[in-house]
Amino acid sequence: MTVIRARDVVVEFPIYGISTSRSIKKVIMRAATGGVLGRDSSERIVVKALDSVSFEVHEGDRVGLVGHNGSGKSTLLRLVAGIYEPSAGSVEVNGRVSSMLDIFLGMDLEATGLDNIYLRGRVMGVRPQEMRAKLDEIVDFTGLGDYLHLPLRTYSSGMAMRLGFAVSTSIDADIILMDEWLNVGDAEFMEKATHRLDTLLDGARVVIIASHDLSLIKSQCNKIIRLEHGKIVNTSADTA
Amino acid sequence: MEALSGALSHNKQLTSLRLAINDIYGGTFGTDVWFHLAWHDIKQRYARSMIGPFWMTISMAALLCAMGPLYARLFKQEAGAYFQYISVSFVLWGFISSQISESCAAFISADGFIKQVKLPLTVHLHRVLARNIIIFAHNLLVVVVVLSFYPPERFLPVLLAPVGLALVLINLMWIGIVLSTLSARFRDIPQMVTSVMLLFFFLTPIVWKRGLLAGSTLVADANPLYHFVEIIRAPLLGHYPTYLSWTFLGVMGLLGWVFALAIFRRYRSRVAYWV
Repeated sequence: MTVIRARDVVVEFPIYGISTSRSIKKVIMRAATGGVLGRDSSERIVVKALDSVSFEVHEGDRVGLVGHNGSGKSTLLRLVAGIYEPSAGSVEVNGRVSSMLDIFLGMDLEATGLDNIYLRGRVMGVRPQEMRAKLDEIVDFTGLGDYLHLPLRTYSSGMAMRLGFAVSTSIDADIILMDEWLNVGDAEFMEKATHRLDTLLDGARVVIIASHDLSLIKSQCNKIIRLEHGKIVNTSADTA
Repeated sequence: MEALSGALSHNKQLTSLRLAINDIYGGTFGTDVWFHLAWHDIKQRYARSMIGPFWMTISMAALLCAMGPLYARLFKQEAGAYFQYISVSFVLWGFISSQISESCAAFISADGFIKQVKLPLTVHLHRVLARNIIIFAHNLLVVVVVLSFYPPERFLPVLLAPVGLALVLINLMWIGIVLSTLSARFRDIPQMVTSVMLLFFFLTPIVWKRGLLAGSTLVADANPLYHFVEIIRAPLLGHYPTYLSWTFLGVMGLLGWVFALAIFRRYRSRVAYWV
């Protein structure tokens, strides 16, 4: 079954706030001809982040996205998440997307760790009642103990990471999107985290990971999409 | 929540109008998200303060106690009646004007959310509205106190105040959709709206009364914001709002929503690129 189908997708970012009229002559000419403000919108600068991209992701696929910085990996993830709607082409997604693009989204530095568990949950679409059921498990996993009663701003970055990771990975998802493999905390926690992530990913129907770490991608994914300048240059089904 | 997840799964086959309506529907009924974000905004603003949001109540009360007697004399009004009038006016104006100015930044300041997670856009607008309603509720305490000292002339019209408020909210919502969407693209709009709202503070009968402008009531009657205030203020003071006010808000709501839907349908999908 096809879970995600993209056909000839184009994503373009208009860039505002930079002057498109670099020559003074051009400006004067425009003033002289009485051009209306905003008319230069036709000659605005556009960045083509994805250029007629087509791909299909099937049930059970683990897709790895590779490519240089700025090749369009994150844009592609956001496209699947439904954040960016394509300027041309079509995307069809069947399933509930859980984006792990920012595992801290919704959290607040002033709120306590416990409050942040609920805050993060809400942004992920989980009701407080459901969150309460998972609370013990999350608290246990973070290993933060009484620190959870303190505001997030008092946490070290490693502790904050543990919290964000624990909450974000506590919710089952159909389609999981990850920008870079989550690297969390010290060695001991890392082991726990890797195991948890594996379990979560195993339960998901589709996983898409963007990463620069080729060996990781090879070990985790059965399909690799290589992007270059917003185009898919290579799709390989890895049967390792 | 159902509505929210409905809007979360996206399907490109839907028409742009349908998507816009889904967004508004999902946003409106995604109460869980926006209410708590709004509540959190308030909590955060007053973090570690002892009386917290009641600072708003106190500063509103202080403002009114200073301005009431002063302007009553300036305008040669009977002190009690004027105090009652200006209290209700100020609290209502505070709500309406800050909602209009703040809705400009609804999407701009939620850029972190918009670029990371798919939520109906109108969730962010409802967050702003809910935040302002919470502030309004705190200020309403002042109105309750003032009205218990200077009760409204008649009681029956007071029952119409919630109806007026509902009409105002419907109008504020479409204004919010238009302003937040366009502001994401044109960053001059928030500045423009702020200064226009300041202008309207003086042009609208808030400090002064409509009747004081001898002969030319048109300045008030043609001003949409006058009707926004008046349709809630009149009932609270024990009068029935005029038919003109009802018609004004009704027609404006209807035309406004058509306009807002047209804008939102056209530009909704672009907002993520603009913020």
